[in-house]
Amino acid sequence: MEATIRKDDDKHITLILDGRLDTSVTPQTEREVEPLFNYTNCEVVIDCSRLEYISSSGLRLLMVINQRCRANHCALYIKGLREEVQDVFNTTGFVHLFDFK
Amino acid sequence: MRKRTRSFANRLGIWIMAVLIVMSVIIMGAVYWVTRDTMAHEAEERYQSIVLHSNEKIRGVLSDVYVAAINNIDIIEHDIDDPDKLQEHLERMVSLNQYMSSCRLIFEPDVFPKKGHNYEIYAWKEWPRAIHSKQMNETHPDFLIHSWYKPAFEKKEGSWTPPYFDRAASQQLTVTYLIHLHDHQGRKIGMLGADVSLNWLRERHKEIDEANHRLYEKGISAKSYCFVIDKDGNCLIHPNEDRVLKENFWEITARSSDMSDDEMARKMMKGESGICKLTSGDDRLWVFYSYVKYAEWTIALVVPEEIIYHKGNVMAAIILAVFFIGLLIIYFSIHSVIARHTKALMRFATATEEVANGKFDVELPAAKSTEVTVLRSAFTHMQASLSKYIEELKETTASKVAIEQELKIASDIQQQMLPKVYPPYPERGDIDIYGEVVTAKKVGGDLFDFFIRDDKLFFSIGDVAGKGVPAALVMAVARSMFRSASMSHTSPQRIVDSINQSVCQSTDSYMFVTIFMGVLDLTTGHLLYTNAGHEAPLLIGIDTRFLPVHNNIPVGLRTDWEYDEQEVTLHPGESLFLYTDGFPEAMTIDNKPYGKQRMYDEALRLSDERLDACTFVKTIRHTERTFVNFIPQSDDISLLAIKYIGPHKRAYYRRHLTLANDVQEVPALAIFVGGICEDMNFNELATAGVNLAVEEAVVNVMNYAYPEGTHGDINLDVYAADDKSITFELRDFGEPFDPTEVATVDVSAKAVKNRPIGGLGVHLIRHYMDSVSYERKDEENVLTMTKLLLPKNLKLK
Repeated sequence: MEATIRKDDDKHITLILDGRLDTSVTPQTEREVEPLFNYTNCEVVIDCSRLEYISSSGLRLLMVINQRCRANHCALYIKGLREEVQDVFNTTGFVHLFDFK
Repeated sequence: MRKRTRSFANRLGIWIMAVLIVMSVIIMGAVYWVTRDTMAHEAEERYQSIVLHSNEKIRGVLSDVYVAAINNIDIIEHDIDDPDKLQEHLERMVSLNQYMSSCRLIFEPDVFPKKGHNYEIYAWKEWPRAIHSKQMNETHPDFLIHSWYKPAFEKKEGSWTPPYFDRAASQQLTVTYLIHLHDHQGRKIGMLGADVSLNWLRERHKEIDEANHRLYEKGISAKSYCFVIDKDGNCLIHPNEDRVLKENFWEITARSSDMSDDEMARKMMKGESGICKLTSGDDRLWVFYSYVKYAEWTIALVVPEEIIYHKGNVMAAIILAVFFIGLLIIYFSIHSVIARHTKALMRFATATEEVANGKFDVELPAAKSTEVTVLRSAFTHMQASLSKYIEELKETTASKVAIEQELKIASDIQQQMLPKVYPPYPERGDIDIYGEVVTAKKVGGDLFDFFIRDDKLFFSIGDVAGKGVPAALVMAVARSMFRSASMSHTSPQRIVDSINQSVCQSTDSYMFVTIFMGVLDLTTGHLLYTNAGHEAPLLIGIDTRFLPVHNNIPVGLRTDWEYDEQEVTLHPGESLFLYTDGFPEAMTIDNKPYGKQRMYDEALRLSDERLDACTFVKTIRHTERTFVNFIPQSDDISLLAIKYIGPHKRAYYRRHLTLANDVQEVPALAIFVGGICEDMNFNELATAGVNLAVEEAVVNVMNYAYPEGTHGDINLDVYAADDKSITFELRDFGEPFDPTEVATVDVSAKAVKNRPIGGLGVHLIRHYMDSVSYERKDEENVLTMTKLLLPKNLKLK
């Protein structure tokens, strides 16, 4: 699992998730996305096009990101969900919690 | 690098040569000195005799002339008054005497007044015979110019004059014997002079020199020469004519720095004869000198030392050369003789190498000497022996290979008797069996066997007393009897009894077999067993222990022994571990046995891990191998593990995974589940779903079942009883927790935003699995999840 934060410009930040986001890697990934919360008043996009798998702990991490971005007045979007992950989002109702691009 | 060696011939040759050379040097030195001295002595005598001979000759000549003068003096005095007659006498004297060159009569003044104041008659000889005479007077006053006349006249007796140059007639170096003439009254009136020309003497010494040069001094640069001196040291004869009468020997010797020639001159003056060795510059000279009486001369022969020793040196050189050539001949003869004889050794070496290469019938070289003959016969003997031994070795090896081959076949047959396909019943989920036999020899006496009939597992393990082929044969009998008896009986007691009868009949050499035999009812786990003298098996489970066994005697000893049987019920998950005594009795190198206690402790430790039969056998076997430090075993070892899983686990597909309660195990779980999904041919969506559901269930247990910080196992059994569904059974010994009681989560758009995080995992399990059930059983939480193998979940074919 790799989480990469890419700054496109002053107002656009992209978080790229690559691999399997299962319970074993979630704590590590949580530490890796910490710098994301330094940005305020910008647009954060989570690029999930390479995210192969997500477990409930992964979903929980996404919820944490969602809440903290909101606290920073950032707009959060998710893009590029693969079918299997999309299915999880559907199943858990997470489709209602996020905005998609 | 190979050290350079010299051949024997060479070395012996060199040694002999060294000794010969030392001896020769000594001998040659002695010979050289003796030869040189002898030759020198010879030369010395020769030259001495030449000088003496010459001396004699001079003396002879002078005495002839002297005698003639004496003899004629009377005749002349008789006719002294007749001068003309006197002239005749003189002419006669000259003609009669060979060596008298001339003669004269010199008269005192006025003896013959008629003839003038001075008167002298002179007669001489002209070569060869003509005799002339003339009278001399004032016009030819020959005698007056000679200084010698007056002193001689004064003397009382006749005497020889010193040499003088005769200008009157012969024009030659001359000496004269003068004797007084008396008149009839006895008065001295003059002198008769008999002349001797020294020309003959010069010629003679020249001849002597030439003869010496020719005869004795050939090939030598230095030459000998003669000279004659008179008593005053004047040189009379010398090869160098310029020195005659001009040089004085005494003066020459006095001038030279050498003292020995002065001594020689002194001796010469005293009229002695002898030999003197002089040094003149670099040359050493030998001077042989002899005093001539009457004339008072000394003849000297000067011989360079080189000439004296020349002959000796030449002789010595010839001897040396002959010796040297002789030595060379000896050396080469020795060398060739030895080389010829040792050549045989080289040929032997070549032959030996060929023998070493396996050519035993190689032709041995012929022997010429006794030593080589001995060697040759020893070699022949060795060849014969070697050939014989090799033949025997070949036969032994061939028969050994044959035996090995038969043993190999026997071993193969025996191995084929043993069950060898594991798992043996892959279609059955209720039993897991693994066994292995490691024989110490090629064929062993251990056996085990099992088979299932009517849902009953018949199994046995045994150990034949003894090893090798006989043991294997007894084992084969026991095994076939086990099989045939098990076909008609279900009671181990009966079966063992049948085996006992057959073994008793088939062996009369007290070859007994210890057997543990059991019949396990796979539906109930009820086990009936009979132990015939075998080791008590281990029952591994919640209460790991040795199975209690009765003390029945081994089979094959007594036909009338009544075996009894015992019973126990196996719970699902419990295992029976059977072994032969070779296992606990495995020894370390210092004879420390592995032991039953250690085996029990290891089994107890492994019981917690709930290993499958194969892993258990291999793990416990490894503990024994490690303990004995992998030294080769001395006894056969058979191990058989039978794990009773239970009737409901019957499945055609079965996988098991044990996890620790640590989320870091999740990737391993993902791989495990991924493999199962692959086996089930799930499509990607179903694979992701099953993965997620199992992970959520496992993580749930990890997070909540065991108290934080404590270790606990999570067992995941996966099985498919048919091709309709696959079941994931998750078991743990943690706190009782029923996830199915967790309330369903509302995932609608309206609800989701307000709900707390939690319960999502169970929601996902429910979503992705087709049925989920929970039960608390024997202190275990058992969560069973089933996924149907519906077409929508499977990959398109």
